[in-house]
Formats: sequence, C-alpha cells, structure tokens
Amino acid sequence: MLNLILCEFAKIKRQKFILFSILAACLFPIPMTVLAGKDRMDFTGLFNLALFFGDFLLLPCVLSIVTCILFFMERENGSLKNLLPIPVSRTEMAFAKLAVILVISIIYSVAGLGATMIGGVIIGSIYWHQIPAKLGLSVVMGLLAFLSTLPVLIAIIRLNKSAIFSILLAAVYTLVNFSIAYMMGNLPPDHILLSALPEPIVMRWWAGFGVERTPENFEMIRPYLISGAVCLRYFLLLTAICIPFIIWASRPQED
Amino acid sequence: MNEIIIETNHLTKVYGTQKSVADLSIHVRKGRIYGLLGRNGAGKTTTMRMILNLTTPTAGEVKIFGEDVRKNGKRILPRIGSLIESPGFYPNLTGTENLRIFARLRGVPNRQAVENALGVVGLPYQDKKLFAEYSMGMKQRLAIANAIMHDPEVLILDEPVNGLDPIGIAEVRDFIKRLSTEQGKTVLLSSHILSEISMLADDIGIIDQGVLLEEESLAELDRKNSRYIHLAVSDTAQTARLIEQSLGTTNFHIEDDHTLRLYDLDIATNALVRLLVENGIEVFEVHTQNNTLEDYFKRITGGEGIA
Ligand SMILES: Nc1ncnc2c1ncn2[C@@H]1O[C@H](COP(=O)(O)OP(=O)(O)OP(=O)(O)O)[C@@H](O)[C@H]1O
Ligand SMILES: [Mg+2]
Repeated sequence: MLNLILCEFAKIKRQKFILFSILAACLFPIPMTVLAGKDRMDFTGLFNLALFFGDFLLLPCVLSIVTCILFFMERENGSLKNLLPIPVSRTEMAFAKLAVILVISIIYSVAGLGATMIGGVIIGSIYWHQIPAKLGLSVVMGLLAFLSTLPVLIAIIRLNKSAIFSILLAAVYTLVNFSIAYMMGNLPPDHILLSALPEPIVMRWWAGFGVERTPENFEMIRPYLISGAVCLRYFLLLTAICIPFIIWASRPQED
Repeated sequence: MNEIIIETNHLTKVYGTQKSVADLSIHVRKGRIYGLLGRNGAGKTTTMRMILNLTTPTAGEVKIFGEDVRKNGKRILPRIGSLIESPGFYPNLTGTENLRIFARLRGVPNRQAVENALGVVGLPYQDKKLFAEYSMGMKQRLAIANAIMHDPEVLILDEPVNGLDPIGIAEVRDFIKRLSTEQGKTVLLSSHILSEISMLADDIGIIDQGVLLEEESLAELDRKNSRYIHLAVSDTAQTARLIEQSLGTTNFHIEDDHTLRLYDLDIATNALVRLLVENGIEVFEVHTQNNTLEDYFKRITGGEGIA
C-alpha cells in the first residue's frame, strides 16, 4: 500500500501540486492580517479566522482540483491498460489517491498556519508558546476538512466532468456547509442540518475550546456544543459511508 | 504436441448490438509465436483485452497456464508482459520515471531492469525528455520496454511495430524472434500486416469481423498457398513416376486420381507437357497458381486491400 502511495506521488511530479496548495493556503491569511490589524485582533483571533475560512471555505475547492487530476489521470492518458495487468487493484489505487489528497490537505492547513504566523508578526501579536498546539490543531483541521469534502468527491469522481464543473460543485457544497456552520446560532441546536453536515459538526466541537469566551457568551453557545468523542464518531461514520462510494465511483462506468 | 499456454474457449464480446468477437477459440502453444491477423476492426485488440482481463467477456473463457484469468488473475498476470494499442504513460514524466513507477508496482527486484529494458528498445536511460515530448515511435518503444521489463514468460503484443521506422521494425522483429528462439518465451502478437506476421509467427490465427476463420501453423498455410503448377491428367500415379524419374524432383503433391500439384516452378511447362503426352498420358489442364498468402488472406477475409 505504501508503495502505491509513493507511486501516486511519483505520478504527480512536475505538476506543482504542493506549491499550488501552499500558495492557495496563503490566500486567506493575507486579507485576514489586514482585517486583524484594523480590528486590533490578537494572534489567536487571526489564527481562528484564517483557519476557519481557509480550511473550510477554500480548501474543499482546492481538494476538488487535486481530486480531478488524480482520479482522471489514468482515464486521460490511457495508462490503466498498463496498470491493471500488473495487476494493480482499482480499489487499492483509489485508496492511494485518497491518501495523497489527505496529505495535500494537511500540507495546505499547516502552510496556512505558517502564513498566519507571518501575519501575526506583521500585526505585532504572536504567541510562540501556542505554536505547537496550533500546529496540532492545523493538522487535525486539515484531516477534518478532507473528510468533510469526501461526500462531494463522490459526485466529482462519478460524474467525471471538467475541472471547472468539479470546482463549482465543490464550491456550492462548501458554501452550503460553511454558511450553515457560520450562522449556526440562527438555527435551533437540534436542527437536523447541524447534526448532518460535516462542517457544522466541526464548528460545534471547535467552538467549545478554540475561542476564549465570556461566561454569558458561553451559556449562549452551550446547547450547540458537542464533545470531541461525538465529533470523532461522526467522522468515523462519515468515512465508513463515503469510502465504499468513492471506490464505486472510481470504477469505469463502461468497459 | 506442445503445451498450450493461452487458450480461449468460445470467447465472445458484444458491444451494444455488435458482436466484436464471436465464439473465438484460439490456442497459443508454449515457446511459439502466434500471430493474430485481421483487418482494422476485426477484433484483435478486443480479444487481447479479454485475455488480459481488461474487459469482461460477454461469453466464453480465457485460460492461461491452464487457469481461468478472471479467477486467478493475481497469480497469472505477473507472468505476462503486455502492450495494448496506443502506449499509455504519464506525459509529465520522462520515460525512465514512467518505467520506474511500473517497475515499483510490479515489485521488480532487479534495480537494473529499467535500464536494461530501455537499452533493448534503444531509448536513453535517465533522459530529460518527457513522455509528452516523445515521438510516436519512441512512445511505442517505451511500451515495448514496459512489456519486457520484468522478464515475463508470456508476451501479449498488440501491433508491436506500429509507428516504428523500418530499422525499428527490423530490430523489434529480431528481438521478438530471439525471445522465442533463445529464451523460449511464448508470444501472442497481432497485426493487420500479413508480411509482418508471416516473417515472425510460427502459428497464425486469421480473424475477421470477430470470427476466427483459420488457425494453422505458418508452414501449413504456406504449403496451401505457395505457387505451384496445377496439373489435371488421366493418371496421377504414372505422372508422378515420370516427373520423379525424368525431371528429378519429388516436390509435388498428389491431390486425387486426376490432379497433382507440382511445387517445383523451375520446370518448364512445355517440356513437362511434352513428356507426359509422349508417355501416353492425357493432359486436360495445366496452369500456374500464383496464390500468395496475401491473396489468400484477402480471399478468406472477403476484402480487398489490406492497409
Ligand atoms: N469500447 C468499445 N465500445 C464499443 N465498440 C467497441 C469498443 N471497443 C471496440 N469496439 C468495436 O469492436 C470492434 C473490434 O475492435 P478492435 O479494436 O478489437 O479491432 P482491431 O482488430 O484491434 O482493429 P485495429 O486493427 O484497427 O486495431 C470494432 O468494430 C470496434 O468498433
Ligand atoms: Mg487494435
């Protein structure tokens, strides 16, 4: 399996994937730094803002492009007829490709932290002692953002359309997710969407520890909060449901 | 009788309403080169794809080393090297990088395998040129290198010399021939060019519109189709004796009581007729058959001009 993953990385040589994702990761921290400078925000505020927008609004779109390239590569260049007689199983290959997407998601998230640190230095507020914890959080959020994107990846892989179409699809999916997570307070805590969609789930977990709050503020959001264990269970279930569908979607539709 | 390595039994593939391969049963024997000959669209590629388990047959089965490929592909496929249709590689990688990926996936232990394979097809090792920048012939050479890299026992090559220049064609032909004669590899190759097949193959299968028209050894096919003098006479036994004694050749074949085929074309027809008539044999018909394999191929596929 490791072999297959290494091969997937070898296949994308010269495609500037990593560079592209790092550049994309810097997209949000830049305006956020300006915003933070104006509003006298501290480093934690800046980090949360950049992570929130970067990982849960932009990253799914970035991952949709990466998915298109990775999953459609063999269909485009006709190398499947050289791979299958090796033999390589289609399922294992789909897993290897997902692993590459996960790694890129985490690289993006960590690069976002890097950009935010530069922003922090610029606005004159950076808490060095928090960096290890924030690094850990960035990795976890990279993972969760990837898992949150899985449902739309099924559609992208199955429909096998252009990159533009795929990004649009991912953008619509993410916007719905993101808006609901963002305006969570406007919905009752037991609203079905807050328990069904992945991004609101992440927010309901993250909101409990990510931000320093006044007691009355905490009381207000309290009914929305979920524990890490619940969040973990949700994502395990989501993954268990999505992976078989992705494998199904990556099979050729006719032969 | 040689052991059969690849065997298809009533193999059929239907696309939509069209039967691309129909009830095809071929037998590829160990250590021999089997040429699948057919015009464009005859079903050669489809057959090979089914043999390699790349497409599911509509009916029938494929046995390689006596085992069903659909069931035991994991065990059988690593022993095969293949090249199907146009070469399919990663355009953003060099030839060497491409082969390294396939070598790694195959688990080829020999570190020199990639370099050797490239050497065999005359491509430079660790060249900077990307596959996207390769010429047609270079792409084809890379595909051949990929097929032989892991030193397989069986090679399945779909139009292996497609796109190669004449020198390249001769090189690849020699190479395939050597694989068979020196290393005892079994080769199944396809072509729409008869001369190509007749230069290489030991056995030939002729396929047209998905149907196998003929399966024979090249020698047998040659015998059927070489040029000969067709003689219709009153007594073939006596004729045979006369030819043997007076003309000193035994290169003929008695078809029946009244017809005989003389394969020795050095004999002048007038002298032959005179000899027979003078010895009291009545001659009804004498003509030279110019059936080349190509005519034969055209005739049995029912078409003109083979591209
Ligand atoms: N994926 C497919 N879908 C529909 N029809 C197909 C498909 N693949 C092949 N065919 C049809 O099957 C027939 C045989 O095609 P095949 O590629 O096997 O021929 P071939 O003998 O390899 O020809 P060529 O010499 O041109 O390579 C053709 O009529 C072709 O149109
Ligand atoms: Mg073909």
